[in-house]
Amino acid sequence: MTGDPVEILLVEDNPNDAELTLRSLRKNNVSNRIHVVRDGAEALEFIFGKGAYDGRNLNDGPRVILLDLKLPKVDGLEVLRQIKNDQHARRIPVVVLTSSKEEKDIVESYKLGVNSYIVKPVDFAQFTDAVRQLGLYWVLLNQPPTP
Amino acid sequence: MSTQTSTHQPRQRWSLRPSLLLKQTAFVALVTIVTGGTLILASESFARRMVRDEIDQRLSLAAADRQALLQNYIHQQEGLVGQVASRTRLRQLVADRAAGKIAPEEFRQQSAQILADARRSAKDFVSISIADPHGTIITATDEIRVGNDYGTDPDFVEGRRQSNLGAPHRIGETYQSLLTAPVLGNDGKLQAVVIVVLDVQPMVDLLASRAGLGESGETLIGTLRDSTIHLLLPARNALQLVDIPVGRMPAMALAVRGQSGLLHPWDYRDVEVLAAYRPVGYLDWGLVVKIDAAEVYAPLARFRTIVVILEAAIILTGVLSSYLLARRFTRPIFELTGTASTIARGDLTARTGLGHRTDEFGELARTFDEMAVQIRRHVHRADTLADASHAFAQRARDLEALLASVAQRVAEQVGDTCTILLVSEDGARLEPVALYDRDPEVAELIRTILGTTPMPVDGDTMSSKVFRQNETLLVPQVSISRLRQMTKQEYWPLLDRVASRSLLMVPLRAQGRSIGVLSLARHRPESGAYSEEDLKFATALAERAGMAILNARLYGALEASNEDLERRVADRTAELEAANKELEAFSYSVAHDLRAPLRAMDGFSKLVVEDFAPRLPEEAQRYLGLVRDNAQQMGRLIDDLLTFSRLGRKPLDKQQVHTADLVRQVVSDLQQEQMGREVTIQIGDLADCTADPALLKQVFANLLSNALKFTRTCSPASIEVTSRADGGEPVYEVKDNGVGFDMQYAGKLFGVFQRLHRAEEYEGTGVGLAIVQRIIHRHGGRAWAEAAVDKGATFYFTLGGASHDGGSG
Repeated sequence: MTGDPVEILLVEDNPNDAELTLRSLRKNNVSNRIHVVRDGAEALEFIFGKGAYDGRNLNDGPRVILLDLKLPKVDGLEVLRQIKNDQHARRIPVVVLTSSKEEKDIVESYKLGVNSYIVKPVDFAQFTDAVRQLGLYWVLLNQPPTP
Repeated sequence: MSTQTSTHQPRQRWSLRPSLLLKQTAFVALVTIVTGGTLILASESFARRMVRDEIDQRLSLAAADRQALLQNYIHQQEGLVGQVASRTRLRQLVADRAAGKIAPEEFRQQSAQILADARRSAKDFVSISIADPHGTIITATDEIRVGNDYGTDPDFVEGRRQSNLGAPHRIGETYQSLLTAPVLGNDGKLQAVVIVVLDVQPMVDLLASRAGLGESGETLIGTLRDSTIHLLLPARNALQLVDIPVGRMPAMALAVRGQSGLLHPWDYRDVEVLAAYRPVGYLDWGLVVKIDAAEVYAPLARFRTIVVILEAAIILTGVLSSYLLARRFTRPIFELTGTASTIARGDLTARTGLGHRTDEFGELARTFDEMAVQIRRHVHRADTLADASHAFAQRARDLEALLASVAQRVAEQVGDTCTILLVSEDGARLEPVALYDRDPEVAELIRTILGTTPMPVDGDTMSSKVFRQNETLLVPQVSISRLRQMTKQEYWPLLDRVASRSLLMVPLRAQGRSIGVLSLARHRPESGAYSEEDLKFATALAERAGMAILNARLYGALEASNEDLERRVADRTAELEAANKELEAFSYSVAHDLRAPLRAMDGFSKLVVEDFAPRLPEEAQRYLGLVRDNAQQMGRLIDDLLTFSRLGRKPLDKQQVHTADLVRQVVSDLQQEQMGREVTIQIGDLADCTADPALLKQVFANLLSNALKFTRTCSPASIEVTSRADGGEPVYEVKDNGVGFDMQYAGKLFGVFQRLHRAEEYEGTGVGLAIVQRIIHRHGGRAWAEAAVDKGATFYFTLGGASHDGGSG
């Protein structure tokens, strides 16, 4: 319920994976402004400012969503579908986190308009690569934009 | 009709006319020629004989006439010379001369005087001489003859005895004979011989006269001298011919022998003649009168010409009239033939058009037309039957539609109402299942009657009997009054309207068993009675209907069982799909949930090493490294297993693959594994194939990565990828010079989790070759290997005959 702008929304139910991801990002100075939600329903509430996040200023981000596909309650593909069906939210880049290279998931994600994907555990090199693809490099990495 | 037949006729005429017309004409010609020829020959022979007899007679007469004339002439001349010899004065003179009583000079003067007188009285006497008994001329009308000696002349010798006419001699242009006669003294002694040189021209003329003997008529006289015929006067046509062998003149030969008769020999010219011969009656002289056969028979040639012309006219007339007659008879035959061939070509509407004739041809044509009508009817019925079979077959899937169709067809073809009764399932009743009449009102009425008339199979209705006895029933005429007796009175008005005037029932059979009755009835007065032919036709239709009904029933049963089968298949499929879905969900969870703890183990081990390394003993760090290795190994195992299990579910996406390109891409993907090593990978001229490219890529990736792995200890490492055709199916080979394996374990090579090397020597999950084999099997191919320890290994595979496309790479 923080009023700070959120740069990254991490949707991850596995606390181990979440911790490893956060540590990888933190070690590379992307520690601030990461919000973690533990299931699909909570992710949707946060993104659309509903339920527990009722009244959240949607202009406060996130700038990017890291989305695990296998989630309790509402699964990742459904979350993705709702994001891409929303006029406003569809502009937020979504990076899918996969625990395997199950083709089915990747194909389905791309169909729904996902922007990139990373195989878990999140390796920082992979992450920066994905971020570079999204053109958010300087925003997320606290680095000045290249002149 | 007539135009139709005439358009087809010419061809038929040409093939028929020669045979019939020619035969008849030729026959007549032959008969007239043979009889005419015989007639000509007979008449000719008859005429010839007649002419010959006539000529023979004339020749005989002429011969006799000539003989008489000749004898007459000879006697006359002998008489004349006799007169000279017997002159008293002359005899006196001769006697005086002999006695020497007269001087020779005087003798000559006086005797010459007497001889000159004698010569004047006989104009044919050329000269007259007197010879003494020794043959010396002592006096003559011509002085110069005196002294000539005739002592050896046969005529003189003969003349010493009696009067004699000698054989003629040719003297210049004339013919002369010596005519001699003795001069006797008073004592009867020979005193002298008178020798007359006689001009025998009258005799020549006599013989030459041809009165009544035609142009070639000729008379010859001859005598036999030294066994040769000697012609006394030369032949007309051969003046030099005098002596002829007997054989060449048979008639003369007979004549000189004193015989007379008729002969048809070849004469001295070698020409056939008709001849009469006889003796002259003087000395041995023979006479032959002859005429050329050619002249005799010349009139016959004209006669023959006339006969031949007449005969030719007869033949011509005969042939012409027979041709015309034959044509008259054959024309209707041709027309019949034309019609027949038109019918044979399938135009059954063709008719002869000769039925109006009153003769036998008319009879034949009418029979023929009737036959054509019959054929047409039969063909129509056959067509109808075929058509019905076809229609029945088309409705074989729907029994009800089939029955309706059968009823309608039978009613339309045989009339008027058709009812189909089928035996009920329990076999107790006959049930009306279809009914047709073109008048719907009548159909409805009959349906009502049938609905209220139960027909038990063992009942005594006509239908029941037909069904039970399995026999047809034909009632050409039905008595309405009898029907009334059998029917309740309330139905009588109905009966009057629809009562059958003629009935026909045929059992419906299928596989030899009665399944119902096809019942036909005619109630319209104009329809007439059923005939035997209708019965046959209805039987044939019923046969087809029976089969069709059986088929429809079988088809119904089949369809029911098919539906059941399809439902069961659908159930099974649904079950299978559910199971498959479950399996997929399971492997999905495996992929995600089983890996999560591994990630944590790996991640936190790494974290410990990174964050607390300075405080950890070296041994602890190594253990953590082992934890990470194992976690990662397990992750790979899970990945491989998932890949392996996915292979069984995913459908193949077969397409044309350029194998060499695909292999090159795999090799470049494996660049990482070749780093820092001396490796030669040779890619041969690989045959193209049809395969799922992603899966084929996996096959080559697994095989090549194995090859790289097991050549790790070799330097340089050599790997070859080749293909060869093996009976049309390409065999792909991946060969290395690595550590190889013992062939006794080759059976385990492609099993899941089967490893032939220790894990610490060569890492791996033991799934790679199992994946290879599964992919190859799914393509319908084979995979195998040959190897020896430390001698390298070769992996082979095929993609199945059907996958092969025969490309040349």
